[in-house]
Amino acid sequence: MSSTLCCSFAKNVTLRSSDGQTFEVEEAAAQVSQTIKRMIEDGCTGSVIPVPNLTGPVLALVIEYFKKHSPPSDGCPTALLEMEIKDWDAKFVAVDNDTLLDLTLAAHYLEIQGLLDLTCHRVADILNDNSVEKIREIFHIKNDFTPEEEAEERSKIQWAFE
Amino acid sequence: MSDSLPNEVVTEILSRLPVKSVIRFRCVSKTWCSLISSPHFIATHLRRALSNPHYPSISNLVLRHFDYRRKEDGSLAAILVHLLSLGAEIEKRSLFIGDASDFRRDPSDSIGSPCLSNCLKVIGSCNGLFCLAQGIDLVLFNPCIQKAISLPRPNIGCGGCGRFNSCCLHSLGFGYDPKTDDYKVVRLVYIQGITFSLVEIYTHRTGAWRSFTASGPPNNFTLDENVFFNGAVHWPARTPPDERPFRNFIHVVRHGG
Repeated sequence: MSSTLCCSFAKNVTLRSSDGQTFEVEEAAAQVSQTIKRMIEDGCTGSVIPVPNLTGPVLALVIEYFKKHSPPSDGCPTALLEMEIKDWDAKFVAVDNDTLLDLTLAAHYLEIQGLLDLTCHRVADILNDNSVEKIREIFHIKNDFTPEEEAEERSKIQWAFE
Repeated sequence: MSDSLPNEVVTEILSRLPVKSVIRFRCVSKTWCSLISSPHFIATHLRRALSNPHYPSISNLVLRHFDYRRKEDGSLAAILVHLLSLGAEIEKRSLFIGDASDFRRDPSDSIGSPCLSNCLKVIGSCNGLFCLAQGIDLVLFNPCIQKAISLPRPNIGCGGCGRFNSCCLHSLGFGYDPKTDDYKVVRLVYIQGITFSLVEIYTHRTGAWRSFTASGPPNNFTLDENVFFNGAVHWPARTPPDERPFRNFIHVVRHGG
């Protein structure tokens, strides 16, 4: 009975990716995700928590993020620790574009606001000075304008291309 | 998988970009074009821009010089604005809005010229939008997307000619009403021989002016000087010269009214 109220040891949960890989992670760390936090509060911790939108390699990265961003055990992050985390974050999102977009989606699905801010900021930096063609390539977007429609749209906003 | 990024995620990303890039990316696809043009995206982008003190396009802009041309019926045909952007580097730009054929000349020769009585006047600015006026002809101008629209003329003119002239005086104010998410222009009108003041309000959502008589005493306002603050236009005002005791006060027109 006392085990649910006062556990001195770190409690773990198991997460399962879309391709069936399982990962064990501290419950406190996993709760960086609001989605997972709600599931734990709803009592889903007894079994494996499915994370159907994420593949194993992406979930592994997200768990690295969880571990770095889980609340410190002494409860008071120092300025030095904050700086270290900032450096770590910058390196964490210095990945190829597809991985970065996968992480962005993961942050969206799992409601990890810090990771969403981090990845969206990084994607925006990459996009900012790029051409329309390059954006389509990065996002794998099919151009559904006809050449005439695109020419018309461009002519309306000529100044944005100067 | 990234070709199916949900709109919320695309909004999260694009709302962090400067206006010029966002506008350029309208050409990426029809989905992006309609997302970027949506009121929700515009509101999200504005909110993020306003909360970022380093946002370059809105915070450091000087409108240096305006000029305008009228059509034969007297309405505005085109406006010319010289912008001085004080971002990372100083950028000078000239904008022509409307039928600009009359302005075709090297913009650099006019950028230093002084602005005399023939200029458009800045009524106010709010959320990156400017309200400019020449008499009773008003223009809403968004320098970030380089767009301007003419507003309909107010209802109260003089002698039916629709032209503002010296037999009536007016003062204009411009602001944003967060309650109705709407931009409004307030016009105080004083007509000779009429002791109460008239108020006209233009709401951008309806695209129309409505008028009512002002509450409070008929005041002799200090014309033109006003400030939009805390959801209302504030005019410094004073009692008419023949009235005692003489008092200075602030007249407030709350847009939500």
